[in-house]
Amino acid sequence: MLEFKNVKFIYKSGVKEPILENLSFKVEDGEFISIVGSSGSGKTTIFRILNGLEDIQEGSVEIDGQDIRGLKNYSSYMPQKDLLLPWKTIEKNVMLPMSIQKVDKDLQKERAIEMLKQVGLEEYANKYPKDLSGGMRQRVAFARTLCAGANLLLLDEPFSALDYITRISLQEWLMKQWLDVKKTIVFITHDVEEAIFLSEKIYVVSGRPITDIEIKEVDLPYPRTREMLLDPRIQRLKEDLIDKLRTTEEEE
Amino acid sequence: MKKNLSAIVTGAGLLILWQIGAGLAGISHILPRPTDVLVCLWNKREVLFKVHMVETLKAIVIGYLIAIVIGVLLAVIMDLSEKLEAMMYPVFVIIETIPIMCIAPLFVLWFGYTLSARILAIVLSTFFSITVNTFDGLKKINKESCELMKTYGAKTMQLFWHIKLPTALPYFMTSLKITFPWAVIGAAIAEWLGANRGLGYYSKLMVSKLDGGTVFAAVLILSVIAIAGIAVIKFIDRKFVFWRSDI
Amino acid sequence: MKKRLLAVGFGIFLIVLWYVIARIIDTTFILPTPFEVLAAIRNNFREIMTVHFVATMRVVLIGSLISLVLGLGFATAMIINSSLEKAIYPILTISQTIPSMCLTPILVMWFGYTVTTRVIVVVLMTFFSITVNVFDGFNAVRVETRELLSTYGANRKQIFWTLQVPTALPYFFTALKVSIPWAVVAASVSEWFGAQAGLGHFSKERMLSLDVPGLLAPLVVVSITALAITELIKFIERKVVTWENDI
Repeated sequence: MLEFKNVKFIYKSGVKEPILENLSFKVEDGEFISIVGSSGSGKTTIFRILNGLEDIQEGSVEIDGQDIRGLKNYSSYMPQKDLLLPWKTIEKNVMLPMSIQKVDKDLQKERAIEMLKQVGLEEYANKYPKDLSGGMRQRVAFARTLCAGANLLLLDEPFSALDYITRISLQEWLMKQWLDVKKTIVFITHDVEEAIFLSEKIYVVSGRPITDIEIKEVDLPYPRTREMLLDPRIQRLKEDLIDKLRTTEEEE
Repeated sequence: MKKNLSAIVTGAGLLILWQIGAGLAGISHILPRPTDVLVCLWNKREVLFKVHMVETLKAIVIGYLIAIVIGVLLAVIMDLSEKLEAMMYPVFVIIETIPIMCIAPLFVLWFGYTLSARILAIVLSTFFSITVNTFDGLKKINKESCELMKTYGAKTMQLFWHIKLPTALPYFMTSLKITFPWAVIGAAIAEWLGANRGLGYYSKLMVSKLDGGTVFAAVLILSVIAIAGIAVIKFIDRKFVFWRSDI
Repeated sequence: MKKRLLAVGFGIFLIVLWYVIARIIDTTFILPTPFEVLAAIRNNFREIMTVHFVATMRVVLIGSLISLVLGLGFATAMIINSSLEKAIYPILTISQTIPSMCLTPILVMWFGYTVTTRVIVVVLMTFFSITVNVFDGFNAVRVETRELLSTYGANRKQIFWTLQVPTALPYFFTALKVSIPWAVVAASVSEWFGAQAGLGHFSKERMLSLDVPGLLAPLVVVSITALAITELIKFIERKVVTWENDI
């Protein structure tokens, strides 16, 4: 579904060394994969390229075989902060991507209510962001992301600003959502356990420049529970990933 | 710096246009050319500078200094006493909204065409803003920094000196930048009301005499005073309140 | 609630103090009692309201409207086009270096002792604050929110209307709350230079007749007006800006 082909990327300002060099990887349709790496490792850069917010120097990025440079609305982006507009109701916030894409107004409202139902917050449609808790606002942001309509969802550390309990509840919730809507999800996190809990595969990003990705499979069935994390194989995988991230942290 | 450069360039361009345009229009009694203004400035320099500018400057300097002292004092008092703050702050905020300068005729009536009347007017029209802004700065202290200092055993005086004063300083400087132009304006307009010397008075006199050059000259000097004052304040701000961006 | 009482109490205390001092001095000519001022307002009411209030408010309203249009216009032009920003900014900077009211003599030479002159003074005093505040508001948009909207495919116009305009609204109201009092002061006080009618003019006339209660009457009217307008703006702001700006 998504393919990076020999991508090279350099920040226009300053640093001569590319961040990504000859990078290639694939993500299959309907997969849930996490990109994991220490801070500043380049995971956000990969996202910004996927988003269309940055342009690459060499190589290509393709969605279903087509170069993203010619495409519109091929991915839906969920940023770290919910970024809900405080002057709009929850419903209007969810409708935002559709109103920008000039979708028919009645259809907008229909889909918005549908997505709010999906995330379990339809009764808050006429409330404002300030009336909701942090966790609820992230769920609304997810509904908005679904309304942007693409089959590829890019989630950028969506839970990192929340407290621990809310975070693990939302992880379980996100997994159920994914099993339900069946979209392709690329998820960034620095929390190794979160990555293991949610994803089928973990893409480890390290080195500078990033030339390839190490893929770790998480061999657990869905739907997953937190008990499964206690399995010694999983524990070993977790320690393995932590080690890997630590060494790259030290190298840098 | 770049922005200043384009302002200077635009300003220079306007000056040239003015010189040419006024020359062509030939109505030098109300629109003198820049060169005419400079000539007036030179010819009347004794009167302009030694008599009128001195008079206006006296009012500005004395009045503004008094305003600063009263302003800061009141801000500190309000900070030290919650009761006084509750009593006075809302009243001061309201006074900031009303045109307190309009009470100047009373002072002219009491004191006649004297310096005192004008000084009073300047003080009254500027110290409220200084008080309110400085007080806001004192209150903006980072609560956590204060609590940390208290755990180190800091007493009120030390707290004041090390945390409150530095935090309030930028706000105080901002209030100066806002109120100084008002001090200059206040001096000029108080003179329109009642004075027999001063740049405001003189410019008014010269209007009725249709002496455009001198009017412009007087206004020019007033402007320079305002600009210079602000420049000094900004300089002090940069030199001594350099941590501003960290707050 | 208790805080409010303290403030109101302080206000009442000041008025009572005024009354007591006035009774002690017992010379209307120097300090009239509050009642004498109220009597002056009542006696001159018709003249004050129908002639002078109207004259001053006409200048305030016309001037403020022009400022609004100019301010919003400049801010929008600057945000839409960065080369316009570079062109306009220097003009703004220049206009603010000179204290606008000091230009009154020059304006009077050109336009006479008319409404036009005073309107121009009001505009010069207020349009800058509106321009700068609204422009800051447009720019206060978070980079991340802007980028999010561009990932939805939003174009420049959509980003302006959906994001920048709502973000700028609180800033706009702040600018209004600041400039309206200035407009009222500027309108009244510029009348001291010379006018046929207006609250400031009335005050000056009464001063020359040594009529202290009459001199103070316009101050009361002007103050109430300024406060009323500010409260109106606050009311509208509460209705429009229903959120806290922490985008």
